[in-house]
Amino acid sequence: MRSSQRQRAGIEEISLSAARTATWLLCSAAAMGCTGVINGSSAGSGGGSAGPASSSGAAGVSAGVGGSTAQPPIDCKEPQAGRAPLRRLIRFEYNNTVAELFKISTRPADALPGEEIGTGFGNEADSLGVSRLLIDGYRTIAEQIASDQTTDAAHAIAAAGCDPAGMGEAACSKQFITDFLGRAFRRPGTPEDLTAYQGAFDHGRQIGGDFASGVRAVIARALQAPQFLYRVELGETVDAAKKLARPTGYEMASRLSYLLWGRMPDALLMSAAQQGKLVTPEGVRAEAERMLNDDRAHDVVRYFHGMLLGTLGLDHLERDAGYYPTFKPGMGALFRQETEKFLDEVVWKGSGDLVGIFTAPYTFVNGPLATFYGLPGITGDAFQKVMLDGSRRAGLLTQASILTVTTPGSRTDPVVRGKWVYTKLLCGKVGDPPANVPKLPEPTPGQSVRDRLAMHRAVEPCKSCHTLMDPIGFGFEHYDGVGLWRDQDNALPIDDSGEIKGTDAAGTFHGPTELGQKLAKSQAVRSCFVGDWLTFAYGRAETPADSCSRNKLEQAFSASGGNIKALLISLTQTDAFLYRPIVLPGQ
Amino acid sequence: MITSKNRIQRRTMLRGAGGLALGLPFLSAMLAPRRSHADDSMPTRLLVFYTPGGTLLDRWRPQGTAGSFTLQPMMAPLTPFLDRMVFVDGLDLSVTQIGYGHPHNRGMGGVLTGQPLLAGSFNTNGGNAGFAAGASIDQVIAAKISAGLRLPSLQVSAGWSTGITAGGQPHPGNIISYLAPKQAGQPAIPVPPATDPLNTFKRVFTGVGGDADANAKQLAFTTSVLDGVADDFKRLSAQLGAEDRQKLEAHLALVQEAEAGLKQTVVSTCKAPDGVNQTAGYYDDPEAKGATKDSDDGPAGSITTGAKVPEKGQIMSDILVATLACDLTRVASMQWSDSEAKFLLGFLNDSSGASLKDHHHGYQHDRGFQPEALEIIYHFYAEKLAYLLQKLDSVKEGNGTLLDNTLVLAVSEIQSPPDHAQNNMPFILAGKAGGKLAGKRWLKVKSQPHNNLLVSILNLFGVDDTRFGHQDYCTGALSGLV
Repeated sequence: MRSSQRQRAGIEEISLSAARTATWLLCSAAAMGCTGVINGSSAGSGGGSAGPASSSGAAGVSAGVGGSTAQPPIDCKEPQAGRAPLRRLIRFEYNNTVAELFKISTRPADALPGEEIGTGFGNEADSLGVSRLLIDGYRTIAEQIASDQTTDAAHAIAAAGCDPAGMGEAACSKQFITDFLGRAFRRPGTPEDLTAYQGAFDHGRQIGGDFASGVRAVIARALQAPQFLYRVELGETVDAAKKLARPTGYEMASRLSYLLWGRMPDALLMSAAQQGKLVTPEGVRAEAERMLNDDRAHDVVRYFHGMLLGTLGLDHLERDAGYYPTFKPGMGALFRQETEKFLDEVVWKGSGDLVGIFTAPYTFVNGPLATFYGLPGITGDAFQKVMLDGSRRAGLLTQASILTVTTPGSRTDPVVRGKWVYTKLLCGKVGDPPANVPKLPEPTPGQSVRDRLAMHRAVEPCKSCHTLMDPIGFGFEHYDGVGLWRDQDNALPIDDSGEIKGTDAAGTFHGPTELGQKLAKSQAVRSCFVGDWLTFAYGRAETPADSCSRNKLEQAFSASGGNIKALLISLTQTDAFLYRPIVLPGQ
Repeated sequence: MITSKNRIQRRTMLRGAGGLALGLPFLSAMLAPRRSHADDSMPTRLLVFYTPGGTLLDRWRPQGTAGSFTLQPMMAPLTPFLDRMVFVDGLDLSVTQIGYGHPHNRGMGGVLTGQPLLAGSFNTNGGNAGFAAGASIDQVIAAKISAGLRLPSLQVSAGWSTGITAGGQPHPGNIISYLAPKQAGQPAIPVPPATDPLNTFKRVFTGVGGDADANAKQLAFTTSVLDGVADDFKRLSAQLGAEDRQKLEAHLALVQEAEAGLKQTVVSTCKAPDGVNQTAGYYDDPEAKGATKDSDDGPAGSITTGAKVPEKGQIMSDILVATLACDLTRVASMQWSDSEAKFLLGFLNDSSGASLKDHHHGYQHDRGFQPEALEIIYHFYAEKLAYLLQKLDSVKEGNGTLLDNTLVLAVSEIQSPPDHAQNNMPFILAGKAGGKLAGKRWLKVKSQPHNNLLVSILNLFGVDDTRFGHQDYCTGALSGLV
């Protein structure tokens, strides 16, 4: 639905620019302007509200409800399953899964083409396509793993988990197939599966002439099978009339393990599924709590933030040495690691909440990064926690990662920084500027960045969006394009006063440390963060049917004081997670 | 740079209709139904050669007259092939006037599609953009001439995604090939290039190059497994709802296409390319110095040195030529890099012998327009094109060579490095396209959209369209080309 929305906008845009009317003064097409109303949240509506979010008609809305047609009120007393489109393992999940399945650390899926970015996390079920390059990649990876597992008879016996010399080949192959499919397909093989894979074993053995070849064929096939590559759900009917189902116990084990660990279920989850413990919210919660105490949960949280904040791209960061002589190629990777280690600490060991993310008075640096920041006394390549005095730096927003991710060129750009805060953290909507807007002219001597951008905030159609973005960005001006502190810009003293408009965080501030304190208390920020997790966790854009799930998440998140572990647990307790639409073959 | 070390064996088996060496089963099973033109002895192939960042037009242009000219030093490596080259000089990439994204991205999206980029969510450093609005000519031609072969087409790259994206996601700044959208109005489907030579080698030459028995066993194993996979897809699809079923069916169709391709008989003299290093990860570009990694780092390296790029480009070229020579596909592209080409160029030296310190885009305008360094870069790419032409020419086919039976189309996404201008684009055609294209020509045209050239190329491959791409930027086939 979202793409069709964009598509409509695209047609307008093409005709507009074809007429070559665009100049830099024409900052924003009227059709894509800003209302200043942030409505990603349905908080406080207490359920029963008509569709959340995005009825304002802004382009490219993340909630993606496809226009503003009126939806009937949703009754949150009845389970609202929402959509549950078929999800394919992304490379992150594939690598983690084969690491569990075969005890290998080769990250073979890195050779696959990248995911379509979709909702921003690269895991949106509706966006992920298939290509010959992908399918051929699955084949070559599967053949390589199968071959590596069966290089000789001893390896094949280890892979099979039984010795055909001891128990007979027929019994051993049967046992291997039963065990292996049970793990690779994340549920016990069906009788049809077992028959089919016994056939694969026999045919492989016949072609290769030995037991190992049979094992190889089973592994190679299973790794290309839809039961492995996709997270298939057939569900169990809860209420046929209402087309409501829930995932089976094994399907729930996969939902939990991919949400919280980014990988296949472990033996305890499979056992819980087998014992029927995953059909109640309490049973699901008990497993989720166990899983969050396991370090494997850290990977998913790290991946989520890397995609959300855009810090995964920092490794390629380049900066003009003329502007930034102390920045060296490769330091972008240090910026990324600083933020990863900081978030790890806040989420898993520190306060665990958004307040910590935006205000914690510490960070992580190693020797080269400390030198870059001008922090004394830190040497070596290992990162260590350092306390900050809180005046110039505290929390996420003063880290070089965020300050550079939001600086596309050499010069700081308050528009980009302001837009990043407004859209990423507050979930505000800003339409794209029209095509063919030239870059701003270079500053003249003695001209402040506020003056240089004054036209943005004075003239329509620029004004409606830029008054929401630029004043937030001005607050970051003490930090240059690589995140270092500066007292002057263009030979003028820095004015770091900024302003947020139009949310519960509205008001003026000085610098990102004060901004962080405002954002840490904001319901709009919590609501936005909930929406991001909801989109990521369920692998799809939010829909009106999710309003009950969202309400529950927002209430629990607020009640926990914005605690992220609590939010992760809550994500397993929503209708969207506990239920799914009934599966009717072919319909 | 030009070496005969890896010269591919003469393809005696591919000598054509009267080829004595062809066994009857091979003839009946393979060649007869696959000929694109009943009269021709050999199929015509299309090979796209993309290099980033335009050119220096005043040094790219031949010197002399349209009928009698020589090449300037920057382009001189191509002199041996002048009798089979056409310089198409003066076409405009007009379609980039519309649509979304930075000029680099618009040029990538438009150069083979003649279409604008749609709106989308990819950051292009020039506004957000999406993928192109329509199919590219290579994919249209592949559907016509390459169906049923091991691969419909093969795309490779030597320096992919080093600058623009995190994690190698397909991006409008990287993609030149597109399949038609599933529904009109949707974005076309990107066809990304393969970036690792070893993976590409395994993918393309499965069951080729070993002894006959080993080949047969490998192919029997692979196709048997794929057959089973297809059964798994069918069994599961039947249980799913319509929307999910569509997804599995799209996947299944590609599994079946792959399996059918592998079941094609490959000419027994087909030889896999020599020299592909079999160590996994060998071709990964090393990081630039100064990067620190620790145990929990992902695979994404830091800035790449580009040190592996020349070697990767050469082995990828060898793989492409062998793939075409073996008739495993008839459409291919060699994409040297993504459009901004942000790998360091230390493997190139300036006239004083010092190695270049920056990347291509740095010399283009990031650090000011630096034509001396750019000439070195464009000269390198002219050498690489000459290498590819020489490899194609070393494969004998019928009375000529593989080069004679190929149309090589050399493109870039912009013309002018400092300002991204997209008029007077530097197109080069090479090879005889099966005898349909006369060489040694400098075709000067004025103010025509490049979509007209795309129409002419389609026509050369028997696609009889009179318009292609965005209709506002196409006036018909380019007169005087054929």
